[in-house]
Formats: sequence, structure tokens, C-alpha cells
Amino acid sequence: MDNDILMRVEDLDVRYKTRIGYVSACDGINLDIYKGEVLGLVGESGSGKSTLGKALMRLHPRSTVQTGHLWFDGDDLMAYSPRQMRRIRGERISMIFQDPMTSLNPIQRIADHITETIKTHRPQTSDEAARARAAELLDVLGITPRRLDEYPHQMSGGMRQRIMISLALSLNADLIIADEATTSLDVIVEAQFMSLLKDLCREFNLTILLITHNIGLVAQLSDRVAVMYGGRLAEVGDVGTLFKDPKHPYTQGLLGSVPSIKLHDKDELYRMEGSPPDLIAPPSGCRFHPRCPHAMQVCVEQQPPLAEVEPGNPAACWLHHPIPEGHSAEPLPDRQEAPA
Amino acid sequence: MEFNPLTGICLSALLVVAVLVIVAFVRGSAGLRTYIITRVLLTIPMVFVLTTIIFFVMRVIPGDPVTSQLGPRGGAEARERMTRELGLDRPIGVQYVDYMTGVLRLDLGNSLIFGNRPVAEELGERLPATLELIVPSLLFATGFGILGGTFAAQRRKTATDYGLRLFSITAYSIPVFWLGLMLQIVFSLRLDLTPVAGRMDAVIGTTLERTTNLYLVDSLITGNFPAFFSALHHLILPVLSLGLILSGVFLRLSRINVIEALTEDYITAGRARGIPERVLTYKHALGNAFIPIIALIGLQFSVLLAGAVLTETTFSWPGMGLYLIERIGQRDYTAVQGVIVVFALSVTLISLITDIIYAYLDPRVQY
Repeated sequence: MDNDILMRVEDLDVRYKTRIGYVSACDGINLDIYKGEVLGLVGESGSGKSTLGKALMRLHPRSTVQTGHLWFDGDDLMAYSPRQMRRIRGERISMIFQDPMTSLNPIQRIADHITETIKTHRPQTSDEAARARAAELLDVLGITPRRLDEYPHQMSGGMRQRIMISLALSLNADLIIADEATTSLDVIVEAQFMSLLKDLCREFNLTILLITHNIGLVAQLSDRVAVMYGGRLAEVGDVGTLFKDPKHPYTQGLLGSVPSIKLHDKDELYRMEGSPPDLIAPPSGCRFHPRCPHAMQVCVEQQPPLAEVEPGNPAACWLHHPIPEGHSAEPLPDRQEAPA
Repeated sequence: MEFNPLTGICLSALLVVAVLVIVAFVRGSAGLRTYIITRVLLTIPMVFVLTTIIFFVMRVIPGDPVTSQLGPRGGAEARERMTRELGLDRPIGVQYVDYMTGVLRLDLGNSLIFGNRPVAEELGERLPATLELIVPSLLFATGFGILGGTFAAQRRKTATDYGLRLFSITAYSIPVFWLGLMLQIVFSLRLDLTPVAGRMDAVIGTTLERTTNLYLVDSLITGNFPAFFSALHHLILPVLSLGLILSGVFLRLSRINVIEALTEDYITAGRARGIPERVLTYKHALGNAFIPIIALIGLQFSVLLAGAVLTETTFSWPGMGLYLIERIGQRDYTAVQGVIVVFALSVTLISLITDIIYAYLDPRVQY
């Protein structure tokens, strides 16, 4: 299995500098991305999932502190110079951005976006070859190559999102990071986007990190899921197991909060108490303890390790790990007993 | 109609308009076409209204060309004769109709002060002088300002950035005449590198055959290189002082707009595709930041047609600004009206060019 790891994220910390202190947006992230898989990364807004996505490409400005290791193809990307990093971006790792309406240069033609990307990485490519590649990509994504010479404002949101995908595909990147790629699309376009991405995965054997807060999208597209809470990973596992039997109370709450049209009158939508943690002064111990229905003394005092509960399904929760000596499993006064 | 430099300039302006209109017709959208035609046609009422206003305002303000020339002690008889000679004894309505029909025939009338030269002929000397001063100054200011501003934007909050910002604030708070005087003292008086004032060395000037009154052009087309270098030599200090002062504004505007453009999503997206920072800054960000800069260039050009008067005074440069101030003082009605007609036409032409450049630069611009 180890050979098939495309990227190994090791002890990744990302801290933003603000006027009132550092925001710990990613804290001790350890995550493997396997070749050919679609890994869903879910969590609430502000849980650090987009920060993580950008950190994988080292896209954060210099004022942001980023430490840890990003093992990619035997090298640690964290040790790369800006110049080496630039060669990786677009060519080996590419990204589909959140907002297709603003992520294309308004004064650049569609064709130029693609050919510029190709010629930046492969300067020896002829203009005709680059343009032919652009036409081919648009064709794959169901846009007629006649529209190559149009400007972004002449296209609809769904089309622009497909252009963003074609840009990400233009150099056959090994890893594609899709950062909330469907958030700004309406449901119908979103559905089209999903089935398109599914086809592309099958056709080109893509490796995708799908960052989203849309559980439905993850359920449909992903092989595995990583759940993030307050800048840390709460739980990782393959979609089937994790959705059927979530280990972490946060995952349970998150899945319970997804509205379904099939919901019966009696079933109530789960409402999670409290609000996401303040990442400038995060809660002690487990960052989820102020909102967790099963919080114990130990949860306040000690951070739970992200250790395997079942093979391939690690969860960071004291409910599933032996409690270290000197700490107590006594539930907090206002919480309920841990489930059996 | 006799040929003079003003007619030449008007004809070249018309040529520019014609080229623009043709380009717009061939390449532009239907909207752009209608827009250009409307703008060109709107110039007519605009010139009409402006000239009318100036015609009456000049006559309402105290003083008149006769008093300004004969002085308060001029004899009644002399005054009467001069008033009659200048045609100022006729009813104001008649004067107005007379003048306006002249303008329609592109005849700007004769100056009302000593010599009574045709206004068109005088403007034909003054307008080229101003153009020869402000075009290079603007080129210098925009070139230096835009590149400097972009350079600073890319290095935001570094020593380079602070240095360039300090320069830009200093540049546009210094009065142009002060900078001009300082340059004259240092380069002309102390170092003896440049001439103090004027457009050309007087002796060389006699050899120059004037057709357009743009000395650089005239000397080049006649192959008179000593005159060309003399004109260039005389341009250095005025262009440097006006250009440096103007570059401050352009630097500031470019810097702030490029900084803003650099925070846009498409820049991050480009960075994620491995596009080099240099390309992101100078192509993507600057390209998008260009619209307000173009607007400022057009605006400054219009302002400078008369507004370079301080530079013109400092360097004894016989341009439009100096001419206008001089003739307002002397209540030379026809001359002032002539200047206004030229301004109105230039402003229209400049804003037309600016708008077409907009449409060319930004595909989203719709007319």
C-alpha cells in the first residue's frame, strides 16, 4: 500500500498572522493521499480545509507560517525553492478554485489561459500544438472549441467552472485539488459537474482532493473521506464505513445535520450546539470538547491522538482510545454518559 | 483656405478620428460604432455652447481690448477709432453671428490686439509648442510612473516600496516652477549642461523651415540635424520637471491599482498554475489595473493643454497656457474664443481615443 501513496502530509501546521495573534488554521495534520483515489475533505466553514488545500501547493503568502513535511514523489515540497515549487504547480499538482466567476482573468481569452499554462511549463510547445490541446480539453469537457476566443464574461458559471477544470487538466497533473469547486454553482450545474468529474476520474485515473462542505458530493464521488474540525483531523476512513458507522462524535453530528428530502416528520435534523472554535485561542485538549455531547474530563486536559479505531479508519477521540494514566473518563457535569 | 500649422494639426486630428472610426467600424461592435458616431456628432453642440458662453462671458467681465491697449488715459477719439476698427461698435448680436459663421467656415477671426494677426495662425504656433512639451512629459511620466508603481506594488512594504512612495508624494507636492528653477540653477547655471529657456537656439532657429511648428518634426523632415538636437536639448529640462511632477500621481495610482489586482482570485489561480510572479504582476495584474490609468492619462492631457502654464512660464515656452493667460489679461476676445474652440475639440478627441482604448483593453466594456 505504501508505494501507492502520492502525497504524504506529515505534521503540517499552518498559522496565519492577524492583529490579535496567530490563527492556528491547521494543527498537526497527518494525511496520506493515495494514487488514483478521490479523497473528500469535509468540515464546517473555518475548519481549515481550504487552508490545508492551499498549503499542499504552498500557496500561502510569506506572512503565513507553514511547517511540517509534504512528501511528494520522494521529495519534501517544504524544502523546495519558490522556483522549484512553481514548476510543481500546474504541472504536477493543480487546483480548481472556489469561485469560477473570479478565478479567470477577465481580460484574457479562454484559449490564452490554457496555452499560457502549457507554454509556461513546456516552453518548447508550438503555438499550434498548445492551441490544439486547448481545443481538445474544451471538447472533453463538452464545450465547443469555437468558444476558445471568447472572454470569461461571455460564459456561464458552469462553463467557467469547466474551463477551470480544463486548466487543471491541461498538463495531466498527478494531483488535483478541488477547493469548494461547486459552492458557487446552482444544484443542476452542480449535478452536471459531479457526473463530469466522475467520468473524468474514470477516464484519466485522476487523483483528487475534494474539499467541500457538501456531504452529498463526497458520498457520490469520494473513495475516502477526511473530516476536519477546528484545524485538526477528526476522523479519516473510506466512505462506506465512515458514513455508515462514524466514530467521532463530530462526524456523527455532521452527518446528522445533513437535510434529506426523505426525512420523515418524526426524524429531527440534528442541531449541533455551540459554534466552531476560536482558532486564535483554541480550546484545550480536544478542540471539539466544548460542543461534544460525550465530553469527559480527559477531553479537556489532553489532545486525543489520531489513531486507528478500525484498520484504515483512524479517529481522534478518547471514546475509542485508552485513557492515559492520571486522567479521568468522568463525563463533564452537563454531558451525557458515553454510549456503550 | 491658406495652410497654417493649426489647420495641419486639425487635419491630422481629423485623420486620427477617421482612422479610429474606421478601426472601430471594422473591429468593434455595433454598440461601439454608434457610440463613436454619437460622440463625434456631439462635439458640434459642445463647441457651439462653449464658444457662446465664452463669447458673452468675455464681454461681460470688466475691461475691454481697447482700454487694455490704449491705457486708461487714451483719448476718446483714439478709443472710438480703435473700437470701430475692431468691429466692437456693432451690436453684440451682430458680432456674435459674425463670429459664429466664421467658426463654421473654420475661420477663427483676427486677434484684437496689436498686429491683429489671424488667431488660427497664432494658435498654429502655440499649440504645437505645447504639444511638443506635454507629449514627451506625459510619456516620461506614464512610463516611469506605471513601471515604478508596478515595481513598488510587487515589493509591497519593502524598502523599495517605501522609497518609491516617498518619491511620489514628494513629486506631486513640489510646485513645478520650483523644481524647474532648481533644475535651471543646477543644470544650466552651475553645470552649464542645458539651456535655461526657450524652444531652440536663436541662431539655429533661423535655419529651421517651419511647417508643423513641432520643432522636432520640422527639423527631422528637413534633415536639419543641428536644429533637431537644439530642440531636443531645450526640451530636456522642461520635460524633466513636468514629467517628474506628473509621474508622482501615475506612480501612486498604478501602485494602488496593481496591489488591488494582485489580491484578485485570478492571480492566485494563475500562481497555482505555476505562472511566474513577474508575468502575474506585469501582464495579469497591470493589464487589469490599466483602465483607471488610461483615464488619468486622458484627463492629464486635457488639463495640460492649458495647465502647463507654470512650466511654460518657468522655461519661457511659448505655449497655449501662456498665450491664454496673456490674452485674457488683454481682453483679446477672439484669441480666447479660439483657444476654447481648440480645447473643446482636443478634449473630445482625447476622450474618444481614451474610450476606444478602454474598449480595446477591457473586453467587458460595452457602449
